[in-house]
Amino acid sequence: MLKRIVVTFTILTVLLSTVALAAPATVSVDDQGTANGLIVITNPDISESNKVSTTTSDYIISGYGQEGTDVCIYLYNPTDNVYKKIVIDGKSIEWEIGASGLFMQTIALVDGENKILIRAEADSNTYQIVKIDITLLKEGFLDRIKGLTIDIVKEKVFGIGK
Amino acid sequence: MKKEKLKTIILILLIANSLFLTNQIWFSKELWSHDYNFFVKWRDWKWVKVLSKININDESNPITMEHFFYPRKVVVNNGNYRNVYSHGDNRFFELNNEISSIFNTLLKGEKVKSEQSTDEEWLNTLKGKSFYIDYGVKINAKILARMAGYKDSSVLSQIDSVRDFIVAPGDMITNDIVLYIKDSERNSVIKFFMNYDKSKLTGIIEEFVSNSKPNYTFSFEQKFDKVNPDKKVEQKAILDPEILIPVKIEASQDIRIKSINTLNMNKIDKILKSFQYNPNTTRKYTEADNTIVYVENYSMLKIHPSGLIEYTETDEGKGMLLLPESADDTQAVPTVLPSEGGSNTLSLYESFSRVIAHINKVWDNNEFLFISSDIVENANKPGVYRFTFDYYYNGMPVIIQCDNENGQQDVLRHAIEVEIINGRLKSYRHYLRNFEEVSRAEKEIMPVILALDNIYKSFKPDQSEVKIDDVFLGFWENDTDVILQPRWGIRIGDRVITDPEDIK
Repeated sequence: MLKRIVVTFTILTVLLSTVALAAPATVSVDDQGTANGLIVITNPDISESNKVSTTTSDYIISGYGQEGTDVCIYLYNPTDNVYKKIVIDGKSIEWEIGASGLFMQTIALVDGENKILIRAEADSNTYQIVKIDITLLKEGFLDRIKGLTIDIVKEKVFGIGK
Repeated sequence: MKKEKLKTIILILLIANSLFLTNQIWFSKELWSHDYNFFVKWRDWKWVKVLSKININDESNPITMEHFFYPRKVVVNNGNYRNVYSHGDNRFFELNNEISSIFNTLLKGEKVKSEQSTDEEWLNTLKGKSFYIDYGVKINAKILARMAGYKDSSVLSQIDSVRDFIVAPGDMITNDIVLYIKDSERNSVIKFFMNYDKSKLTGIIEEFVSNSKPNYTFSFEQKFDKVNPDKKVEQKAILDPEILIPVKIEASQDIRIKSINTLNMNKIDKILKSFQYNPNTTRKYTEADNTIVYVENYSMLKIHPSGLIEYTETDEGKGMLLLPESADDTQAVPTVLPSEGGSNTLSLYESFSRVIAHINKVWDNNEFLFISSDIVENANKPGVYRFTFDYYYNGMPVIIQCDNENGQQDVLRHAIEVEIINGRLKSYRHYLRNFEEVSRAEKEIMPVILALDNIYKSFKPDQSEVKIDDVFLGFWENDTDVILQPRWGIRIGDRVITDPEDIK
């Protein structure tokens, strides 16, 4: 009898701890979090706006935070109108911040707008939400802008061209 | 009949055994007492020296001065992706030649314009199409120009020392390319515009970037170098802006030290002669740990069984006078110190070149040695220099951590540490090492952020905010491990710390 109780208790402890540590599978679009001092995102720079654009499809999200904080990255799903965990090769992008406080994760972007949500959790009642909209510009878009700039400079400054 | 046959077999075995042991004593172990060692003396005969030069098994690899002025790493960026090249990579020398040609064009000084730049512009240039050349140490600008063959180049006259520089194609309007050189002494950035085939430069950049995914990012790009004014979250680690962080998991081979048994009597004689000791007359004794101690010429030389050799002058200012590279061992020791410009102090360049010449005399296989101390003038004590060298394998340093003398544990030492005062050797420590790969198979190394966590946890900094000067992959040699595995390490000032847990 005692053996059965011990086994049951052990299984429950393991299951509960797993459930407590794992981030939720989805996050509501209206969720604003309950805390604000768990992580700081350093890349991309969202100090002025949370909308950024890039030409690189493999994008690095980095920052620092409090040791022991669990962090998970989500992507907005327009069909269900919720943020869902990003899963690569069957694994979600989630980790615990270590002693240095630093973190760095690469995510794969799709062309156009990518609505990203980063959820940092100290405990089930204390969590921070950071939302970032990253627009992936198509290859060549930047080159076209550069080309346009040069044409204008050549025309205005050197009087060459059109 | 059977008994006779058995006797014959035993006799043949005994004869074979005696021949084998004699061979071992005469040719392999050279077990004769030193003073009567025929095998040491006969190698000094002229005709044997001539013959030994055509010996294909001779592993002698003397180092040249140029070897110490190769960049530690070259980062090629095509605007989207980067490749990092270091000594040991297949195309490193090809790339280095291209960069040297650009640098030489600058030193020629034809149609070169310069202006002051800023740290911000320097970092922005690193984000775009560029070559980033990192020497790893500060090098006196005059010496750098001299090594490129320009003894009196005026271009670098406004710069004291160079640690790294950037070559970039510049704007799309003019034909000039741009070189940014950071003066590490004055902490300023100078921007040079020079005429160079821009399309050729862009072509080289594209040729040397083979990635289609980001594999390296600079710390400043992730803003790990900035102290955030928002103090809501404690920021523990601040990284130097030019620390290169791998995005992917790195992989490398394990290495091991080749046997130190190669330190036979012949090589010991060579070492003794390099310190101007006479192998036949020098007083010597053996310590309890089998360290051989030689005493002569106001100095002491210790040869440890671990392959460490230590030279110290016993009378101040009477250490051995280092000779120029061209001088022969047999040449009489000059009584008047030769110098540049007629002063009594030996210049930085001469001091450094004599140290290199001396290292080549001590040990003849130095292909893995690289400078790890700055090659800069000592403003406080002209003529007094301390140079350190470390072994590098495939671009990664080998950190020696096995010195437990005087009760000290885990003391980090360099492969070579030299103190020189006006050309006289004050002290010299040299770990004689050769390395080889254990196998060709590469093993994955722990992600750098996880390693940083482990390191941070282990060294328990006094203050919560730590400025990290470098993060690097290296091999760590200690007393216990035979195989040296690549591990992450950090440098804070002069302190080097590795990940103690080494979790893969």
